[in-house]
Amino acid sequence: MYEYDVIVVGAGGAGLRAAIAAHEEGADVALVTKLHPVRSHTGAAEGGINAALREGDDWELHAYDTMKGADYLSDAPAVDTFAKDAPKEVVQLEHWGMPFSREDDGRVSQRPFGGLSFPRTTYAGAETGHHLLHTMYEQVVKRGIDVFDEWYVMNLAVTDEDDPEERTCHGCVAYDIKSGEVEGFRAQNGVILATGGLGQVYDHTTNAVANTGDGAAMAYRAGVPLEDMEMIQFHPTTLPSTGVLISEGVRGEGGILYNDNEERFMFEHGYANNDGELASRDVVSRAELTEVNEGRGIEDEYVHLDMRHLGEERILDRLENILHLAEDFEGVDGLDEPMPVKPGQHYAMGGIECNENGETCVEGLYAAGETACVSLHGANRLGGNALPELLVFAPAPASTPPAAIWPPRASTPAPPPRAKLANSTPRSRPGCWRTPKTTPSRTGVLWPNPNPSCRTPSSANVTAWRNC
Amino acid sequence: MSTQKQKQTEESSEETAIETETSSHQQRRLDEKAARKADREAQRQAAEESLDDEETVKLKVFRFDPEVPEKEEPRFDTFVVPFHKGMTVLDALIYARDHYDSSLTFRHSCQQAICGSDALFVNGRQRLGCKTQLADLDGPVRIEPLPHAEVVKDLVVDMEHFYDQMEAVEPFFDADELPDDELEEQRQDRQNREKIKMSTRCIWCGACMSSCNIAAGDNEYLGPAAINKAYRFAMDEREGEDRKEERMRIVEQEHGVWRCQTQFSCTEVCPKDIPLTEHIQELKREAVKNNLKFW
Repeated sequence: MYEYDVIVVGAGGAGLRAAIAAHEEGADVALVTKLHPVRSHTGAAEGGINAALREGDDWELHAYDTMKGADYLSDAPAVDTFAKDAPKEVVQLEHWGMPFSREDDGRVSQRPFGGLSFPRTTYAGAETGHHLLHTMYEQVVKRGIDVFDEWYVMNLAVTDEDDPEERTCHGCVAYDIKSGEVEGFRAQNGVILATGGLGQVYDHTTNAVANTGDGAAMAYRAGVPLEDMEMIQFHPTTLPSTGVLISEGVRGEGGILYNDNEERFMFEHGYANNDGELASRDVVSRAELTEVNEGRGIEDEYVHLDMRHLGEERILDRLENILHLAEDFEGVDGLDEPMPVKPGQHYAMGGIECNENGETCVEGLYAAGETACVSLHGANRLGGNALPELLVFAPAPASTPPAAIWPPRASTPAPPPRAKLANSTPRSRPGCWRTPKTTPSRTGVLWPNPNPSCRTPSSANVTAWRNC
Repeated sequence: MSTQKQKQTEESSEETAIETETSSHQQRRLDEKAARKADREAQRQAAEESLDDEETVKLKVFRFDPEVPEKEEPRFDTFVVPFHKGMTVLDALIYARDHYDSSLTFRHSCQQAICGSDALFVNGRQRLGCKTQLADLDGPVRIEPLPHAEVVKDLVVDMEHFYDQMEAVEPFFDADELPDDELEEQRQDRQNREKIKMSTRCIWCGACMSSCNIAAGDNEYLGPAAINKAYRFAMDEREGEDRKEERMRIVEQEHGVWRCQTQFSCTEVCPKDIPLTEHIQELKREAVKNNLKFW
């Protein structure tokens, strides 16, 4: 049995940030992860980190963009905290040595991104996530925080009261993947779940093999509701065989999508007569899927993304890494032939229901990062908002005085007995290619949120948000 | 699936005359689609028959498990895997594991060459499995664990020594001074950022360390990846001269930069194209400059 003040499950961006914060508060912390920290999927994030850093920009504009992009389904207080604290956290990263791209005057560069009213996406080349992950792991090494790498956490140690809100989490159980040894991890002051996404639920995803939603499943078994699980983002341009992401930059530079009849379907079939290929992610994904479902897909599976007309010089100058990706992962030369692309699962907006401090309804159990649902992203996450989310909300559990946040609530009925999932073997996964035949049978096994009141009441400005 | 759709169409056209026109359009599209599909299917079958041998790829995979009596002795297993365009070494291994032998063990996660889990020794060279196209390799494809590392099981090697070396160079940013204001960033020249850019791309896959003859013979040698990490900080102008001096002291010790014999094997195998040998040479030059002070 290992004993710590705080156990952090998962060591991607959110887990590392949470561990650093807890360590700074003086806690004895351990990170338990089924990978080595630098193998985490935060490293695959390309775009950047949104933060209102410059003159002419304002955190309120960032908050407004976030709320609008989310179809007004975010919680206003969470959006407030997020937009206010993001600049501080980005500068903190810079102080930790993250190699951001720079302007001529030596300040951190920012660029425009979809859905933003100001170019506020800070970035480090096209590998922002990689640099963020490594910078943060370096800080963990510096602080000498204990890391249990390649330890798989199986379950949480939670008391067994009938009402989930009366339960307490005391730690977790994990096994060492190498030896098979099973060990208990006792956490005096709390367990923080930071296990990342759940993309492997889907047949075709940009997520890593490791992103299996373990944290959400563990929390659910412990009685914590999952929130907004239907809010899944699909990225329109991923390679069909591996799900490797082809950046929005290709369409930004003028790349064109064609169907099997070589029609420029975004215009010719009227999906987005103004924006064409540059319509928002959900619109383009849906258009591609419609084309394939109506028999105009190539090999009944994908469409073509063509950038040959841009010319070799421009492609090599601005999209060189795309050529490498297409060559290495699909065996296609983007200079000679169009690249096959199809929509792929990309991000889960929902997750473990928690408040702005990462607290779930079980005492001593916290959540952070993609696995959590602070309700920041609503129905759609803006590009460049995932990394600042973990920067802002992952440190919160460490700095929250226990017990003060969750006021006593009227008791709610216990969750109904669980239905058996029809297809529970890991290899039979629902595709994101839904047909009328498969959809109802999948949704039939879901059940209502057992505890709808499990969240802090949002303040009166929700109405104000909806009106803006 | 398609028969069901057709049945639905027939039913609805019987029910209402108004829908007839729509249905016939739909019917026509469905027929066209079915014809195209049959055509493709025929082509695929023809291709399969004629290329039966060429459409598969043979893997020879290293197997070893000290805990299982039959597998205590290292051996090679042969797997024949159906090939498709764009298939990588990792795809083939996953196919072999899922279809032939679920005990086949290898590390992998992101499948896009950023997590650094699946560095393997493929056809005599360190490569990332996910980034290596089978079409570029001569068959049978021989897949082994990274050389010069202890094998835990099958293709999994013990990375502890590699991690220890990485962490021995104080791999964390540690500026002499930071701005007082928590909202004020440090300034960094564009050229300086460009200088350290390649060194920051390291994904800790361990391919370089495995390819290095010196590291194989000297366990205390820091190795290319760790020296590259030291380079990344020593060359970062934000850290200041005092810290740089300390960093130089770490890399110029006996088992540091001087061990490198410029064989360029690390540079050749690096999946991220980091000029490792050049970085090591540059640190040697810095060390000489600091110690001799001719100018």
